[in-house]
Amino acid sequence: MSSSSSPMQSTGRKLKLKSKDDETFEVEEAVAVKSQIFKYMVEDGVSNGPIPLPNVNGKTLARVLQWCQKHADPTITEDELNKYDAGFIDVDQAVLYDLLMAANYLNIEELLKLACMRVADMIKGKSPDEIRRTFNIKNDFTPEEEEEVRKENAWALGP
Amino acid sequence: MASSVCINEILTDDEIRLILAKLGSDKDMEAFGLVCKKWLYLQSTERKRLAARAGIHMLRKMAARFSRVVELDLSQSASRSFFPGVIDSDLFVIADGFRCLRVLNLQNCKGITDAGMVEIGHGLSSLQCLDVSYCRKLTDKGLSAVAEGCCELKSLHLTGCRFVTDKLLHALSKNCHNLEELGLQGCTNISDSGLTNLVNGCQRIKFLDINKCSNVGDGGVLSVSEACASSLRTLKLLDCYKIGDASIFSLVRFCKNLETLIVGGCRNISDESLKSLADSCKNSLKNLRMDWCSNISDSALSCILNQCINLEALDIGCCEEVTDAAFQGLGTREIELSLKVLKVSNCPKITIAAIGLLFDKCNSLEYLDVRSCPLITKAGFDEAGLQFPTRCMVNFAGSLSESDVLCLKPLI
Repeated sequence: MSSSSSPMQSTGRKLKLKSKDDETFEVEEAVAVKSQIFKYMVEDGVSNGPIPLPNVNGKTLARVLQWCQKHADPTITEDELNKYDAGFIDVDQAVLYDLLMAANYLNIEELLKLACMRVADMIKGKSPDEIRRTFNIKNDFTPEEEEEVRKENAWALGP
Repeated sequence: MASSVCINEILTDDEIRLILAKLGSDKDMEAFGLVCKKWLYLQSTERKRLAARAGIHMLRKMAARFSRVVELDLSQSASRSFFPGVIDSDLFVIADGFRCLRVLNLQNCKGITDAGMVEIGHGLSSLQCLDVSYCRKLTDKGLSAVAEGCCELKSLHLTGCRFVTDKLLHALSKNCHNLEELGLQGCTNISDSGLTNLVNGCQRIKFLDINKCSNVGDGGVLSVSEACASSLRTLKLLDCYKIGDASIFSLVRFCKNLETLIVGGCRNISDESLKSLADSCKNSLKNLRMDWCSNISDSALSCILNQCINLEALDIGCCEEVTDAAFQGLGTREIELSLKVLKVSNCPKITIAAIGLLFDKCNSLEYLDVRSCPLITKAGFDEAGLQFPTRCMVNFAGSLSESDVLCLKPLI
């Protein structure tokens, strides 16, 4: 898209992607290969028509590609990237899970890590009850069962 | 930040596992497991290792909950055991419940018997490491059942299992060809023919501890050297008083990768074979214990000091013929000694001059034992103005107990 001295971008080849709700996207190879899936396709010289992605909707795919674009930019500094990531992942849970699942499906390691870390941060330091409320999980332990688990935890040592 | 979506209805188990993996602390892991039954299952089956010392009444529940545990540590300390401690019925539960188990530590679980071992042999076909040191009731019967059932066995520790005989070695030879570590310290019924039989089938042994197996002689060691050859890294023959130069020469001939050799109390060993060993293992030898080898003289010791460049621990206590001359070669030495531990207790002919030479060329020394050396005293050091290497503990006439030096393990 923007001119750059990076050898990959100068091939100018683009991939066509189609989300599950039939939105199409054109993206430069250098950006797309953040996803291991696309990396293999590019290396194998595959694909003329648009690549169908039945597991990702258009809205999420747009976001993911935006992230890939930012991360493929050779001029951006690490500090800027970290700031960007922090803002990018500060979304409500529904969007967060969509991003997590898309990163998993498309095998984008850094994005998957970012999303998982975000969820983990929402768990850290909280009590089980607080965690349940955060994630809207029903407590299916009886008080006796919960007491059992606490006893077992006290017993089992080690890493 | 409450939500209208429920994470459990959206993410897969594997995705939730990825999130679990990012929780650093035990406390968070524990809270995670208390959220709901699905999360408890994910947390529990992620767990690979369990150690428990507070009694086994929960073992059945543990087996049900932590079904993918690979390592289980139920060892007890020698002095403080919980009564009755681990018993056979617990081994039944383990054999039945922890099917993926690879490592089982039952050190000092003195209550267990052959019946429990038979169950282990039947149930845990993936078992690779078993430590039943000091489980004194065990005999060939139970342990052979383990050998027969656990063919992947790599490491077996039987220190203090004094009822073990050559029969078990035969069973190991037949079934456990991947065996790499075998600890038989104090198994006094072991004989040369048993060892020969053992290494017929077990040729990959790296670590063999037959300390205090006083029936073992040159015949057994020769078989081990030849069969295990370059695999053998550690050989412990403490107080195997029957062995002599022939054993050492066989190590020279076959075992080029020997790192640790313990021949304390093997009085028949002489300079000639040790000089050969110093030459053949000059790069590999790290730990050498030859206390009470009363025939050793300066000739062998100087070869060892001059040639074994990677030597870290040396014990020549009670080698009464050794004098300062053995240390003379250090004077002209260019490369520093890498020695960390030196024990010369009860070597009455060694003087402070030798220690001075040593300090000069050895900055890595951490422990020096000069007890019962009448010519080496604290006063003498001060008089000579000798500088101890930093971090070096010196044991004069019982000023330190050996337990002060617990961290230095090489000479077991």
